[in-house]
Amino acid sequence: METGLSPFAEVLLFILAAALFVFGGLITARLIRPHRPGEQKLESYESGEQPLGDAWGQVNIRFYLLGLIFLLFEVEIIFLFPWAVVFGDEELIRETGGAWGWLTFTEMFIFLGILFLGLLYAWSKGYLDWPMPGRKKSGFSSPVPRSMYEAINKKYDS
Amino acid sequence: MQYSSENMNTPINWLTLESVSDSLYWLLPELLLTTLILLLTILIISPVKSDKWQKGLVFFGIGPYVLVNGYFSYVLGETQIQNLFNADMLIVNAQAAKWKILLGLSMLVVLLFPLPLTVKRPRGEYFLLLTGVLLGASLLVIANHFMMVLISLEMISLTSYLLTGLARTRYSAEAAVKYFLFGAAATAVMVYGVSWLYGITGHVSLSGSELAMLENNFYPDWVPFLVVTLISSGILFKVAVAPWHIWVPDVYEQTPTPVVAMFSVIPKLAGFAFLIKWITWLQWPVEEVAVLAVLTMSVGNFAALRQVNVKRMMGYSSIAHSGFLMMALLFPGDASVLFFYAAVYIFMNLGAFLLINYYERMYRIQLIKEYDGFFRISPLFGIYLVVFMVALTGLPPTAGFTAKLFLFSGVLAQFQESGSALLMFTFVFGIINAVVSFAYYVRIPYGMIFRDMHSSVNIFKKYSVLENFLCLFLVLAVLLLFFKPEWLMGWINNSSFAF
Amino acid sequence: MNEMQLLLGTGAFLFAAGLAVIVSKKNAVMVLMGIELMLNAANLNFIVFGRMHPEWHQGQFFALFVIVLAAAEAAVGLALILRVYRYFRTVELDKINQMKG
Repeated sequence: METGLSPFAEVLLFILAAALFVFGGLITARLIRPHRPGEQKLESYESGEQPLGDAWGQVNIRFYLLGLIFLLFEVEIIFLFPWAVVFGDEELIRETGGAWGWLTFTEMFIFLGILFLGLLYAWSKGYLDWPMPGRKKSGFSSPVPRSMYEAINKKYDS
Repeated sequence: MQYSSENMNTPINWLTLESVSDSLYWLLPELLLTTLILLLTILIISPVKSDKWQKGLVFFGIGPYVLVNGYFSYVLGETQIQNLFNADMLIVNAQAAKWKILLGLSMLVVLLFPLPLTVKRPRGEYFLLLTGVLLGASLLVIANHFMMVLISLEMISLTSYLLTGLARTRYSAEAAVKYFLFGAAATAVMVYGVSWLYGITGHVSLSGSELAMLENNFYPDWVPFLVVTLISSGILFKVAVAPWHIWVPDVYEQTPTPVVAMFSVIPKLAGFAFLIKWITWLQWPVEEVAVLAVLTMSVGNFAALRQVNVKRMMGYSSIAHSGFLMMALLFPGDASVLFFYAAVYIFMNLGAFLLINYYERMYRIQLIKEYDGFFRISPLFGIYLVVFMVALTGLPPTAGFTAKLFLFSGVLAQFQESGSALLMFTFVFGIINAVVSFAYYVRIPYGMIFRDMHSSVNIFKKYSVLENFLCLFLVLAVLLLFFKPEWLMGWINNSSFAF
Repeated sequence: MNEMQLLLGTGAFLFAAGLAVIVSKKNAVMVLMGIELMLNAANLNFIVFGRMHPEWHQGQFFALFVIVLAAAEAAVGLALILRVYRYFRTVELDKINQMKG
């Protein structure tokens, strides 16, 4: 792709286009929509829960697990970029009679296969399910009825 | 894209498809281990939750690994060198194949260790991580480029952290986090050092003579020294050389014993196999190595004297042996003594840990004083323990003595050749340390034989025939190598261990 | 001061800051962040030096691998720290200290 522009100029064009896309949409919406604020509309999440307390509270531990799994797979994809640069190199493919393409193709599929196996492992261990499997309520039922506990609590309450 | 045309036609000159398939052939041991890891993962995912299958698969993978390396060490002959992918990244020769045989054999022994009950079953993940350590160690042995060194070191480290945290106890979690934080910091320091090495010389492989570039007059003197120190710290951390040894006692105390046995052998030997290449590249800085060796063995031996926990004591003992192995790096251009010491160290250390594991499982004992009087209950195992402790001290009639004899006579010969006072100093300190180590190694057998038991014995686990045979094998090896050291030395010397 | 010195100086500052964080902070997650800072200092150096030695893009590839290793390290480290939290209910390193010697 010869455009006469330097590679950085192409990137700059991309950034400009992205900015235009986002802000253009917002501004057009602002221009044509009616403006009728109401109490519910001004909440920070219009249809979600009201935020309580500060942002440093405890988060459910499963968020971290999912976060870690995501982090690993996301970063491994970095290896696709140098591969993509040499994969389609016409000169190399011509000189090796097409073998180069097949070699790199297989290599990358082995790599992706290993990654996929890792994902399968996480899946089979149940780290991707939101309600974790195997955590059933215990079948234990106390022979002492609950009302007795409450009676004792009430007795020593005052 | 303008930049593709000018740079991308260079690879075709050094990388041809024939060389790829040739190189993959010499990479067969590592490919075997990789396949083993993938198959184990599939087995863990699959509905077959059988411990036996997983264990069988591991032996089926590591057995051929040892055999293939044996074949390579035979085929490669005395001096043949295979530069894989012509990239100066991985270099296979007979010496590397022999190191890998040692690693594979010790891994097979470690796999036969019975595991404590704190580790969850089925043990698929345990086998997986052990194979990962072996793969990392195997790559480190053939690594010749700092990118490979970094990857293989991390492969060893990350799996080691996870193995430390394997037991379901709070102490094990604590040890794992400490190990991780120290280890990750050491790696980060090393990576930063490598970045400067790359900046100054423009190369990160160990093939050329970039040391001259590193030490030119363009930079002040302390720059090369700092760079080399930063890089070395990452490796010296892994092999537990003082002052990078602080993680050892905590980790050794709280990790399941089979894993500790593995820690004391596989990362350490792989580290030394690489260290000798690195020291060759540095053109044998004898003085620094001697100082580190003396420091390491003194720290290990003197701290071991006041330990009450057996595994903690063995941790300091392994630091002390790192010091002795450092001493074996004092002979410029010859690694055969290092290899001999390492091989003997494997036998005696794995044997000692096997017995510690046995007593821990059978009687739940971990403190040195709890061993009192046990000779009467199991005399056979008592004798085994005496042999291993004598070997670790370095007294006849065990191979530990032979190894130390080679080591000390080598240092003495070096001293006579060069007349450096530092070598004499190292020699004297080595002897003093060997004497000091006697004091703590002998404490366990002494208590076992001559003292009375503290309380009545509860036997928790069934007696294992396998353990007995394994011990017998290791004892025989340790004794045999004292009487016939030329068997091992002959095998070592039929390929070149010179640099 | 030219561009290169500025970048290398930034790298050295990042490295020193990371080291300072590791030595001074008591929180395990903070120490992990310090380690990441040090690794990124090395990455910056690799990229800068990669411009000095353009053959084979060794510096850039090294940085790529370091990024991936850092991610793997962070994943393992956070998993271990979560485990410690389960047992000790804290990630303060001073309180996670039950072993002596």
